[in-house]
Amino acid sequence: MRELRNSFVSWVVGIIGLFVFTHNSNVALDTKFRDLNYLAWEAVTRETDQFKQVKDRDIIISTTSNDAYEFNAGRFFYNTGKRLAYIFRIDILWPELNTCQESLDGVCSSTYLEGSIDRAKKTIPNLNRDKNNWPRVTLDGDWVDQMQEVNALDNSEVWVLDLFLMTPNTAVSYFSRTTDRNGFPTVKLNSSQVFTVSKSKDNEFNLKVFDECLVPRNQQATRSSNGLWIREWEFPKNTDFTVDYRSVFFGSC
Amino acid sequence: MINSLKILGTNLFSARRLLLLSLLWVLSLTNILKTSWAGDDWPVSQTPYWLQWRLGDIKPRYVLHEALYWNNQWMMGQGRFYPLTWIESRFLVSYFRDLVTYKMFSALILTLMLILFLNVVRKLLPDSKFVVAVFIGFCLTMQFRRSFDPHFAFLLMVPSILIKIFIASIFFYKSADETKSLARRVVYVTLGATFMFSAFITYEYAFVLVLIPAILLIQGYVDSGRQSNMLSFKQTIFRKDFLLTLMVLLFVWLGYAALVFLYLRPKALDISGAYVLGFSTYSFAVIAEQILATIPLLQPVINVVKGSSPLEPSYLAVIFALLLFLLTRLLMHEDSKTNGYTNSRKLDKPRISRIKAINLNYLAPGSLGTAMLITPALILAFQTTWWEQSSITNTYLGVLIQEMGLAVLIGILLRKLINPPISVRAKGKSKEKL
Repeated sequence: MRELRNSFVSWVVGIIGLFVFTHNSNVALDTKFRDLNYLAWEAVTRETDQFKQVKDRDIIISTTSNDAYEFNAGRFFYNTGKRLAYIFRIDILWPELNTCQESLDGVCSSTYLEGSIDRAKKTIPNLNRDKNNWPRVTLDGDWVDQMQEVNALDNSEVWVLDLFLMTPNTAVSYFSRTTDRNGFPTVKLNSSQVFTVSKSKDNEFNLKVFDECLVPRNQQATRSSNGLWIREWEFPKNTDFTVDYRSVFFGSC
Repeated sequence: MINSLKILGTNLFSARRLLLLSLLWVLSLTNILKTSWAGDDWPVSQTPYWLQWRLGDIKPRYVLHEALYWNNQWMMGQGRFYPLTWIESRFLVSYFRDLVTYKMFSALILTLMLILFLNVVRKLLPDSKFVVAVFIGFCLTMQFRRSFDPHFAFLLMVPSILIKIFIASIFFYKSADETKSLARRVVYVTLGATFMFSAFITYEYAFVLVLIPAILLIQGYVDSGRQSNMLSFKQTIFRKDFLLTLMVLLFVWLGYAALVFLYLRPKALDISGAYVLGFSTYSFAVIAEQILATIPLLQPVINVVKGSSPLEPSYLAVIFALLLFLLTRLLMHEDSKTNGYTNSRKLDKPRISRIKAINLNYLAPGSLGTAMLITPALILAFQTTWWEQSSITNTYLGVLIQEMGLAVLIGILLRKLINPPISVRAKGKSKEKL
């Protein structure tokens, strides 16, 4: 009788263990849902020439950046060696965009909004730290302090950068210099750089912007060190026009 | 190595039991190694990059400054004081930046936590089979969470407080055991108090875990009194040295409470959200939900019913289940062969009353298990924001502590259910059954 009971208990323990382990394994795999975002960022910032013209003290504006994850000025500096003034989310620089009325073309009017550099100068002080906190270490060369000096941003260029998933297998990176460094971000479309970073070597889809299909610069994608496939895209010649950065949306051809 | 083996009350000759335990734990850790950055780990893991961008380099004093900056913000804003977690986490991610090394370090810390936990359990009931039964219980209760998970996320904060609390408990126990040298006893009490306070300033959950060192302290004096002077329980707890040590423990506990509630909270600028405290009838529902949330199989079954993840066991899961089955089977098979002989040096010394031995056998570990199961739930019960969001699927970081508490209770159940009465071999006498 005892032997039967002991056997039963062992079986119950084993079966519960089976399902608990499986559950834990499922939850563990769920944590990897951001892996492609992260690996795509690493591939784009470390293994492409997308940022070769960026210099120290430049500003990047984005709709997809997130200081809580890898898309931030610190990681950008670590990966590219370029020490930006900051990467600003567009709604942090212009919080009024969150509440404005949409104009006829579906985009909030930017006519009366302050320019990028002026807004950046007003926003950077939010990053100040109280120097009287213990321990009162001397923070020589606090970059945030340096960005608030007079003329600190006089030579800064303003860029826009977005990195987002188009599909669960492919991320898109869009990067462009703004046409007016102290205006609201507008971009010249065919001067922009676009990369896709994909899990598969074969092209999942062709990109489209403003009803124009982009074409791959090379036939073959390049393999990144983290196992993803990088492909650069070109805009067709008839995309030589300037648009509000917020109106750049990607689709597929 | 020898000491870690003795934790399990075994020796190198019980290799198969140790092998099964090790394999089971390594398999459990594979699920930790599979995880990515999660929860608070994501933003905190960016610390070294922010430091390099802002200050040009990563130096220890810069990391310390960063950690204490955030501690100051929470201290002045919400009246919370837990600087050690800021310091530990910032140094951790600054020097273990790669996900693989970070997860391997996490696995190491969890292993240390487990060894200390089993050591504490063994002190309360020095029976190797009971320790193994508790380990089996923990294999069943350790369940990952999709919301706030303390096993693989939040920068090892909960394992860190548990390590400190367990070390403090062991020192308090040893102080009771130390009868020859007063200086050594003072050192043990001081170390116990230091580790206990360091647990409080790691995370506030440690504040309610003061019961763990208290239970170990009481058990230490009971064991010591029983062994040397044949003192009764009542005689033991009124001993001067016991009362003095207990006062030290209470002084540290109340000292932290005074710091937070009498000094920091009144000065806090903006107590809000989860740090607004209260108590109502909702609190009882929160306590019940958080206790029920630790039941094994509940999370997997709920996920299947919701359709959020199918339960398709992998080959590793099958191996894990098989090893768990074998270990349980082995435990029962060994016991029926040896007739429940324990290798406790405490119990097989001078003869003890039969009835008292049965009562004391499970009282101490039962108290530990119950305390660990209920006290983290109390913390949520006192937070007004948790009155509406608490459920059996929505838990918080203290759930790891509760899982350990439930593992102890499962261990007691397994030990009582499957084993014959404990036998004690007194010196020069034939075996007696209790």
